[in-house]
Amino acid sequence: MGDPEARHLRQCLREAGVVLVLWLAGLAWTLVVVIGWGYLPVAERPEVPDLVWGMPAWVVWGLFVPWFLEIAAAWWFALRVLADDDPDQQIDDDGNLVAAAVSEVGA
Amino acid sequence: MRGLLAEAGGRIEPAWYHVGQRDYAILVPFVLFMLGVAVITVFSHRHQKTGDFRTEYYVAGRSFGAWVLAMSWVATMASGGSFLGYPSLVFSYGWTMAFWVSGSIVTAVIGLGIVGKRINRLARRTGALTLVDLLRDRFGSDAVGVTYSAVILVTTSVYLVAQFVAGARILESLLQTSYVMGLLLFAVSVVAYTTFGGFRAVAWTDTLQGIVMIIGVVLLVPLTLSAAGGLEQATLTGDRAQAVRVDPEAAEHGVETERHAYLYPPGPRQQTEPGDEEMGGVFLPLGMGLSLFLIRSLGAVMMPTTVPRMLAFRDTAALRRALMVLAPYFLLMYGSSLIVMNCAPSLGIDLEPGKSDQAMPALAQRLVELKAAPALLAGLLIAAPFAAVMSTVDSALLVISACVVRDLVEKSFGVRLSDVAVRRLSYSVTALAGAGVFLGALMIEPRFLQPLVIHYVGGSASALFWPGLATLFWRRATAKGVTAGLAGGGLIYIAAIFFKPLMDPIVPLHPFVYGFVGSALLVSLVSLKTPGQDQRQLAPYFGVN
Repeated sequence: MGDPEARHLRQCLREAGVVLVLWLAGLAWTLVVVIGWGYLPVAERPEVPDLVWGMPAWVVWGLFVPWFLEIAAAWWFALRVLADDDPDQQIDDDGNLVAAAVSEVGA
Repeated sequence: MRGLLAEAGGRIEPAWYHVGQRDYAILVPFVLFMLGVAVITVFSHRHQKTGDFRTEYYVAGRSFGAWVLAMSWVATMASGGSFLGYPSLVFSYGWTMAFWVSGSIVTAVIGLGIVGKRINRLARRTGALTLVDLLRDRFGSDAVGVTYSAVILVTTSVYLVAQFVAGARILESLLQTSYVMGLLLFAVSVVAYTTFGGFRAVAWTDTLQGIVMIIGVVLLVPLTLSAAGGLEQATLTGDRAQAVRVDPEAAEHGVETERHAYLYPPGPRQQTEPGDEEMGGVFLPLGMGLSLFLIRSLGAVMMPTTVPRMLAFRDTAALRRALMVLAPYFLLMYGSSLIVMNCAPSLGIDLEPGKSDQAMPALAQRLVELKAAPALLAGLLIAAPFAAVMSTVDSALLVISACVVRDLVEKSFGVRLSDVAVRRLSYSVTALAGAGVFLGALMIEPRFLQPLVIHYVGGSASALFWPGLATLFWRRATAKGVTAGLAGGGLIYIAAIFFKPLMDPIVPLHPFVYGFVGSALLVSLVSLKTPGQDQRQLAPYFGVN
């Protein structure tokens, strides 16, 4: 099963890689929309601004839409990618977790 | 009345300690909230009498569940900057502030997902109570510990001053008293419960505060929209809609407001000090917006006030559930502020120049005046930003206490202290730090709170991000490389503040970008140029290949 510390490190690096992809996706989306729809030269700004639900359209598409998508992605990350690696438990040579009791605060 | 009122130039003015608020309906929810904090503190103090004082006072027995982790992390992250500073800038600069906050869409997953599990596991294995412990122990280097402590002390002190100012302003508005009285009341209450209750009190009160904060700010949305006649009215069609708003900075310099300046970035002109001859530049050039995305997302990873939570949670399940709670929390918090403060001008809220940090409490009071919200609710709405400030200040005070007692006195200077001595010293340092910051906040009253907060996040991330990541994930990192990254990142950041005007005509970037890149280069280059650690030292952190 390999060294438990090395295995823990590899798992953490894998998770960090996924987070990096989510971060890059958020950055790219925001920049594309904000530069394309938000940073309009004054002469090109429409006489009647394009609104969605009372907000400028660039705010909805450049902030709120990616925000909802990132929330969904964060939940996916938490449920599917973030592996159990109870820090208070030692991993034996067979890769099994050995529990240790700790007191509890909160849920 | 002579004791309460003082004559000034023939006009009777209230003395500095006079409290003018007589609307008890506003005061009741606020007093109830403070009572809740007091009760939690007493219970937390009882915990300190059982078990090891250090582990209890600094990491609460490493026992946080999901809710305590999530709420204490976000309540610490979200400071007076989030509940006063950010709304103040939205009030002043309109919808442009949507780009300013866009980095927060990934703050939760970045802040918890990259380092949370790794820090927690290593801290348990090595017995580290602070991140400085972890760094120092990995490299066996006092230089790393002292440099890290110095960076934390400097950045956290600046941050604390800003938060004390925010707390004082809220009490000034809530109690209708002077700034000095507000500051004094804030300092005494927050320093007392932090000193007395330690990390567990801070975490539990943070949980209460995190809940109060989000309820307060989310409740504002329907009330404000209803009072403003809808968002479209506030943005486009009303008499005082953002679309027709006049830029006061441009007007003062005889320049016409650009079309829809409050609807599109880069926004209206930056407000300068009264009497400044030169007109302020545009508020948010693209490079500055990009810088803020980086600060608001990456700044959460190694922030000195939030990292202690990474050492204190119970297991991965707690981390996972905390992440799921936090992801939507940021949207509710900033999204609500963005919407309500873009409605605020249409509700007839006018604040003097330099007083826009009171926009949030002013909005709550305005809603009561318009009978759009009951007075009891206004008390809760004002308690929300106050909770945000308190939760950040208590964490920062403990960071300073841990830094001085644990990292400098005990570890770096090698002073052996009994449990009783550690207890007394920790209490004293927490109280003294509070007193020092109180004096700082008496002397400094910034025009806008938010830039100071951004300096804390940007400055600490410049210095701490890469050294922290290298310590946790890079076998080849060395003590000299990490020390160079810590000191260099911080110094480059400070230098960039002063030399930024020279670079702005090329690409206007926040000083963070220079410090962040400089620190990355220093950590990697110096580490590669110096001898690496041997396998025996690395095994507890990285295992055996």
